[in-house]
Parts: sequence; C-alpha cells; structure tokens
Amino acid sequence: MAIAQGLLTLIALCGFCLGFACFGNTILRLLRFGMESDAEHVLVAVGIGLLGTEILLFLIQFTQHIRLGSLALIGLLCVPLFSEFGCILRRFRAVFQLLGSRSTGGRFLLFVTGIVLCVEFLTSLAPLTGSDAMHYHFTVQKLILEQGFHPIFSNTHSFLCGQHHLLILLGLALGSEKLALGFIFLGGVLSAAILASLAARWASEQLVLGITLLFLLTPVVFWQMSSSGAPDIYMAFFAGTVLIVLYQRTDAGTWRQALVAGLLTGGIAGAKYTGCFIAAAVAVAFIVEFASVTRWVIFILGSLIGGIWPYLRNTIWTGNPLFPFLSEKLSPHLITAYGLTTLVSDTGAAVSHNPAQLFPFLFFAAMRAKNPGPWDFFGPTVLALAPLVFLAYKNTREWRIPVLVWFLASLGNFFSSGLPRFLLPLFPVALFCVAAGIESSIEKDWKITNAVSVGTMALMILSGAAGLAVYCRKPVLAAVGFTGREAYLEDMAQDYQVAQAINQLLGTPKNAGTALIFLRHQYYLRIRYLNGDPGTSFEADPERLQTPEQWKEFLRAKAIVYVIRAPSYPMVIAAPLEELEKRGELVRFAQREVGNLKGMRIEQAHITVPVIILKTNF
Amino acid sequence: MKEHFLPKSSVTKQLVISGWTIAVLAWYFHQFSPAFSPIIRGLLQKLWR
Repeated sequence: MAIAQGLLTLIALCGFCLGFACFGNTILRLLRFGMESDAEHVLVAVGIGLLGTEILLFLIQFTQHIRLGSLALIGLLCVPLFSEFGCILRRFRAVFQLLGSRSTGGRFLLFVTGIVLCVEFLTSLAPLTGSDAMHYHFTVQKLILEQGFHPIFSNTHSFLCGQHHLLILLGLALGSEKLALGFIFLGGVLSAAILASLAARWASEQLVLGITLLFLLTPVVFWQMSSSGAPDIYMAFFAGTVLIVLYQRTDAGTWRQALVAGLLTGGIAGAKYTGCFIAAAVAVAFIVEFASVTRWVIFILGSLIGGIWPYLRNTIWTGNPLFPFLSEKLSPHLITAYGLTTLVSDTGAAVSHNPAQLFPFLFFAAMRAKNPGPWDFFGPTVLALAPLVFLAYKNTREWRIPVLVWFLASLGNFFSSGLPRFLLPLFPVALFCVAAGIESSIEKDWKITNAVSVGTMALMILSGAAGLAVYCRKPVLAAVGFTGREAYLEDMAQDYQVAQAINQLLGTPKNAGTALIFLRHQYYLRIRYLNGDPGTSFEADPERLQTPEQWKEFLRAKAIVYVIRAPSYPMVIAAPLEELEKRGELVRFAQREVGNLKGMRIEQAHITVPVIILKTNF
Repeated sequence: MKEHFLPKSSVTKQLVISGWTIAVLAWYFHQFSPAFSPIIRGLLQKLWR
C-alpha cells in the first residue's frame, strides 16, 4: 500500500512537472523567448510555469475555496498540457537522449545519481517529522485549509511563509501530505538539474555528474529536499535558472530577457525574506552587465510580478510587507516585544557577527558549533577548492554574474542573519564555479591538483553517502511500509505523542471547546486550539498578562475552555497560571503520561512527559 | 596576472594549491568533529541496535 502510494505520488509529480513545463512554455512562446539548448529551455519553462501556478494559487486563497480552486487549477494546467505537450515532449526526449549517450564512467555516475535520488525520494515520502515544518511550514497551510485565508497571529512564523509554501498548500488541498512533501523533493531534483545544466557549460561530462552527485549528497541538501518539510530548496532552482537566462545570447539585452530573468528572480525574493538579498544581488549584476535603465526597470517589474505576493499579503493583513520585522515602526500594535525578540533570535538576526567568521561563511564552510546538524553542513569543498575558482576566473559576463551574485548575496545574509543554511540558494552557483575551476586545472594538465581536487570530491561524496545512509534508514523503512506510521511518528516526531494524547482526550464532541496550548509542533493536533506560548505567538503578551485576573479576562475573551501544559508553562507566564491552578479556577480535567523527544530529533533522546489538561472554572 | 600570486613553477603552484585544499579539509573536520561526534556516535549506536 505504501509503495503504491509512493508510485502514485511519483506519477503525480511527473504530471505536475510536465504541466508546469507546458504552462511555462506557453508564456515563453507568448513572449517569443526561447533558450538555446533543450535542457535549459525545459528548466526555464518549468520555472516560469511554477511561478504562474503559484500566483494563481495565491489568488485562489482569497476566494476561500482553496480545495475547489486547486482542482480548477489542475484543469487549467491541462489546457497548455494538450497544446504544448508535443513541443515539450520533444525537448524532454532530446534531454534523455543526451543522458543516454554517456561514457562508461558517466553512466556509472548517472546510475549512482539515480539511486541517490530514489533514496531521497523515499525519505521524502515518510510522514512529516521536520521540526519547523510541524511548527509552521505545513501547520500554517493546514490551518488555512481548515479555517480560511486569514492572518494567524497565534503563530509568529506564519507571516514568513513565502510563495513556494503554496505548493505545500496545493498538496494538502488535494488531500495528500505525500504530494506536498513530494513537491519539496521536486525542488531538489530541479536544483540538481539546474546545477548540471550550468556546469555543463564549462565542465566535462564526468565532472558535471560528479558535482551534481556531490550536491545531492551534501547533508544540507538531502535534509532540505527530503525530511525538512521546507520549500527553501526552490530558491536554489530559481537562482540557477536566472543565471541561465542571463547567459542567453540570442536575446541578450532585450526586454524579453529582462522580463523572464525578472520573473524568475521574483521566485527567489518571494520565497522568504532572505531571498531579497539574492534578488537584490541579481538586480545589481543585471544593471552592471547590461547597463540599461529601461531593461533594468523591466527586470524589476518582472521581479515584482514574480515575487511580490507574500509581501502584498502581509501588507493587506498588517500594513507591513515584512511583518513582523520592522514592526516597531510599521505595525507596533500587532506584535508583542517578547514574540518579536524570540523570532529575531530564531532567525539569527539578533546575533552579532564576528568578522572572522565572514571568510568561511562566504565559502560555505561556516557552522554554528553550538547547534550542529545537517541543516548547516555544506562541507569544506567550496573553500578547499576556492584557489582553483580564483585561477579560473575570467573577466567575462559568464564569470562576473555568478561571482557577483554569490558574494553580494552572501554578504547580505551574513550581516542580516549569519545562518549558514540561508546560503543554500547560492550553493549550486558556487559549485558551478568550483566545477569550472577543476575543469580549468584539468585543461592545464595539473596532475597533482587534479588528483587532490577529484579526491576531495570523492571524499565528500563518500562521506555524504554514508551520512545519507544513516540519516535515511528510518524514513525509508517508514515510506515503504516496514515501519508503521504511528510507530515512526512516535519515534521521530517531536511532540507527536503529546498531540495525540490531546486529540484523544479532547477530540470528542462531548469535550468540544478551544484549548490554549503551549506546544511548538502543532501539525498533528486535530482539535480547535490557540497557541499561547509568548515566544511563538503574538496573541499572548506577557507584559499584559501578568496577573491571574488579566489571564481570566484573556481566557474569556478568546473563549478558551481548556488549558494544556506538557509538562509546564513557558517560564515568562508561569506564575499567574499556576496561581489560577492554586485558586481552583483552572481544575485538572485529564492527565496522561506520554513519550517525547528531548531537544533535536537527530539526538534521539526519548523522555516521558505528563500531558495535563485543565478546565476553566470561573 | 592572477598567477603572479603563485610561484612560477607549475609543480610548486600545484603543491601550494593542493596544500591549501588539504589544510582546509584538515581544519574543517578538526574544528567540527567535536560538535558532530556525539550525534554521529548516537546515530551509529542506534543503527547497531
């Protein structure tokens, strides 16, 4: 059954990919814009089609009929599918013929890449366990489907959801969590394809396949495209696609190229706030290279069409496009100082940045020693092979654009957040430059350097493969049905057993009523709830909720019937709530002991916690 | 122009570049192994069981 579901998801993903390509091809045909190679054209068409689909999905949300709208959208995607199918299929066939005509070494690398992709696909099909995904990437989309398209102030991260979260929404709207997860995997495949396409410009066949394999086996990449549950990987795809469009020679400097590049840049900026640094870097590279204000304005207009939507949503809801950031000036009445401070520290923006960390950060070799994990691990490849990139660099447009985008965007990210994982969109760009560096060394017949650089790649591929093997074992067993869904989630998903206990104790019509929770991972909750953790909710302001009376008023205003702690209240609001318990105004309704994960799930530290449900009594 | 930063001899150039590569690999794994080793050890123990 699980395998059949996996196959169905794969078929659906292929169908959607074809649909995006055909939709994108229609738009490119209208613009009379085409790429020089079949592979590049297909990738650009997929990018444009994907953006078009996301824009339509965004507009559908306002109708509040998202499930019906999603079905209509599929119908709409079928129209260009019929008209453009022949053209796109011909281009796909040309790409596959190119893949088939490889040397023995190339075929071996292609075979290994196929196996890695299969393993990553299966890993992505396991039930959702990503911490941030269960907090907001998936939870917010689920809430939108259940409660409508409204601002969710009880989840501070909900406003950070970007355009590519709409693919998660689409998957969930069609009733399939696997499809939603599959869309994220598709983003990884497209990113690998764009890296291969870029590298093929300057590097030999085996080097292209080697660098693509290295990308797929980099922990931050396989974590992001398989079990993270976050759609950030699409930014890497769009960053590479923009480069390919800017490299196009037939339409170089035309308004068509500016518009298509702008649209794709919008796909980066619309993904998340840090994407704006990359989009700004592309805009700088564009004006530097093409030196035309008119074209640049068209590029910016394209970017706005492609990526303004989450900012527009936030403006409509709060008057602040970057909500909750800049709220002190733009929307002070909508936030709590405590919630904002916690959010800012979570995104790294509050941390002061040591200039000594800048150099390894720019070359993807930085890592936060206090909180290590696959989400920061790009490996040392780019820094180790940086001298080859430096020596291969030529003062041509093909080199200037990627290098400018890479360094400008990295600098922006370093000073705004400093979190290494936000460099993910730039990783294919950097690896593309690394491939060019190694190729340059091969051309010079530098045998020692060649041996060391190929050895470095082999070392990182092998260690990445070992990491993937360890990391994917449990999710793959769950995806193919060897481990049951419940058993897997109990073992791997933080707060899952707590959520299940709450569902069982309060999920009956007899116990209906809104519950106040302080749980970070809310995805598996099936009751009506309000998040009262001041660190992750703007609803509960610890400055205004300091006395039991203020809490009683708050609970009445929000029609809260139950208050749930597992095991304790957040420290900043604990005292007045404990006082209400002592007074008997919050009385014990039910209690259950359940297992939970302590700290990060990767550490696999299991503990037992009490889930205590209290009922209001005033 | 750029190669003026490096020695003239091709072999010496290669040795300098390769030396950098090996030094970065050694630095990276040395710096981050204490942070990662408990996680890797824990995962391997789980796998073994």
